[in-house]
Amino acid sequence: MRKNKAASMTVWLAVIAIIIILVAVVAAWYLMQPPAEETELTVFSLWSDQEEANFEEALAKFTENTGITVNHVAYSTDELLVTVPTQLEAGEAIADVIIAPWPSWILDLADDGLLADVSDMMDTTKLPATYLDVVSSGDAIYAAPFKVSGKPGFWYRESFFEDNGLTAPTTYDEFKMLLADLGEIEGVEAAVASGDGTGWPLSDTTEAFIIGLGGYQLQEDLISGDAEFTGTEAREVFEELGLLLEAGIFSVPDDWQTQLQRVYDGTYGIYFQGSFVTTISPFSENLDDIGFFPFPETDGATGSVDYAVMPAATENMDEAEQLIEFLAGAEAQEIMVQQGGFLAPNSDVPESAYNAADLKVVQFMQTVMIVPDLDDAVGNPFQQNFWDQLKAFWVDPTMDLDTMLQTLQDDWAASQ
Amino acid sequence: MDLRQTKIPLFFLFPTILLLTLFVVFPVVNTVYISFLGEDDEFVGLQNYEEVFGQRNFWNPQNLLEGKTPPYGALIHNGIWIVLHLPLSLFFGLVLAILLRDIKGGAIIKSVVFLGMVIPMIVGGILLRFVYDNRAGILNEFLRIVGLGGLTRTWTAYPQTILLALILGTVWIWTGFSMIVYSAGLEGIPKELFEAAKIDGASRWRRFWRITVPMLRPATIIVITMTLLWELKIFDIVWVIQQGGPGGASMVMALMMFREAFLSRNFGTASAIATMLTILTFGFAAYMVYRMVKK
Repeated sequence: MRKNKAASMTVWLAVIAIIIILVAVVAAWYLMQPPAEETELTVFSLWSDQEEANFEEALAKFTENTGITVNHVAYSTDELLVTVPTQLEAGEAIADVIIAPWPSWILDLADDGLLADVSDMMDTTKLPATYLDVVSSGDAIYAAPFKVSGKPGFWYRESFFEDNGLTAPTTYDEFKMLLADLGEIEGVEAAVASGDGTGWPLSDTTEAFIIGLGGYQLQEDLISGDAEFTGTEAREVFEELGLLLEAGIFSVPDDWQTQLQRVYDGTYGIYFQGSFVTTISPFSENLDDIGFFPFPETDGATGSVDYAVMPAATENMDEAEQLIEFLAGAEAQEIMVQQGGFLAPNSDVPESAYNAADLKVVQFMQTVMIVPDLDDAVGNPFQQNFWDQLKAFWVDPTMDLDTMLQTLQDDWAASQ
Repeated sequence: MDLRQTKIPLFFLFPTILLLTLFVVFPVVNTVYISFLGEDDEFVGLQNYEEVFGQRNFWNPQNLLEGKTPPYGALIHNGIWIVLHLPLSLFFGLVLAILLRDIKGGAIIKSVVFLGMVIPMIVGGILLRFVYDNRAGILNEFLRIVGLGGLTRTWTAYPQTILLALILGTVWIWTGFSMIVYSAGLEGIPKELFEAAKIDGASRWRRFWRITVPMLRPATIIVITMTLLWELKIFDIVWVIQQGGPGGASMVMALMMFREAFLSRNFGTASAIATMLTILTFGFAAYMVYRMVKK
């Protein structure tokens, strides 16, 4: 009996000894760990694939300059729109810097005190006032313009135009003749391709007509509320667009990237899109054969700006400030535009940074007034409903125009 | 029942009750509370509800009354889903369950039909986009083959056709569920009942109406309840296809609630829609449970 007790005691002691040794080993391992790594910033953006690779090149340069590493997380449009405000309102800044293209969304967050003023982090004299005004409130500026997707006009395949004896129009009458000629070419299903998706390709095309037929001032007035969608000027633009839609000039909307291929293979003649299409296949592989012409006689064009914002709740304020400063500067923007498809807001970026296709866009954009994207500037609920109404208008142009325009005006008011 | 007998079940129920209170009851009560608040958290009574009913996307019966095509507003669209989708899903589920009951390889066919339920609804939505696509869609290809090429179009791109296209498309997705429930129900009916009826000279049709249908009542109530709740809270498929468009023609309540809350950040109106949705789903569910328990 006593022997058993002694054996039991020995086992217990052995167990306790093993536990002590294990605890000591774990403690030693923990103490021997190297100190925590340097601060790593997290950046959210909408960019994936090639755009992400381009952006990461710029971020690598930032790391090289400052020693601060950056983790880039690609979000979808819905994820960014929905989750970021929720995170920020909960007092959580998972991202130290967020890149977003919606000025109204940015100002909404700023009004709620969720974003930091970044006006001291950039040289505002190097950046167009148009881009800064829409993200400013009082003296504060809540976003730094990083890159611009210019919406210069209608893209087409040059050899297709040459083969069919077509030329880029310079007047609106010539434009209408071109549309008629395109429709008569065998194999062409519609003169103009229409992009689908969330609705932005249709709103971009519509805005080209607003600016082209009504002038850039009409676009600015519709944003500010000095003009109404139910007003005569806006109504005339939509009436003209409706006539073209009724005549079957535009295709039924379909996936906007697939439509690029169809423009290239001659299913459609022309396609209103932003400068970024030159980075997408098949355009990207055939830049020598791709051209664009602006909306005839237009005095303006939209530039959709990607802004860098900094949540007020970020725990890495100093490092995030450095990143905002870098992104607003010429060095980062030069790296970004060198990859093609985008323009730099910073005036210090030299023309030599652009490829030939982008340079044409830059040179055109210098000849007209650059105005903000209408739906990006007004925000929701207008934006969603604008897209939605246009989707219906595109396939049913005989719909009651008065009702549609009144709906847009009501939605504009609801967004203020 | 002594105290010990009462306490033990309560002890085991406590974690569930706690979690339900925290994650279901509290959010529901809070949502109802928020639906009465304005932008600055001030009490505004029924103002949010009025605002919701004032929106064409939610309540637009004029087009329906005038015999025009959608949009009719989310509330009416949800009603149309129930009116069309529920009987069709029940009918096809029952028919398939009966037809495949005694067929060799029926289990394999059932598995194929049930695939619609197994795939995520988002994927189902993407598949439906392809089905209805003018160029790549199987529906349009079928129309071309049978000589109706003039009717081909991208069915989800038009306000006139999208709601019907979505409803019929989701019948395919949901039929798998009702078929499986009915199959289980059929297995529970004693074979002796059919044999006795057969000996008594009852026709196949009479056996179906007098035995199969009444004996499947519990299964029918389950299918109706689940289908109704799914139809009321439908979101993902509608979102992935046209985000409620074009022109609001496929807008439904859950989608509108999402847009109000997370895109427009109007939490008051979003909560008002959520409250109405809760009342509707709870009302339907409570009624169906009552019917089941009563029987």
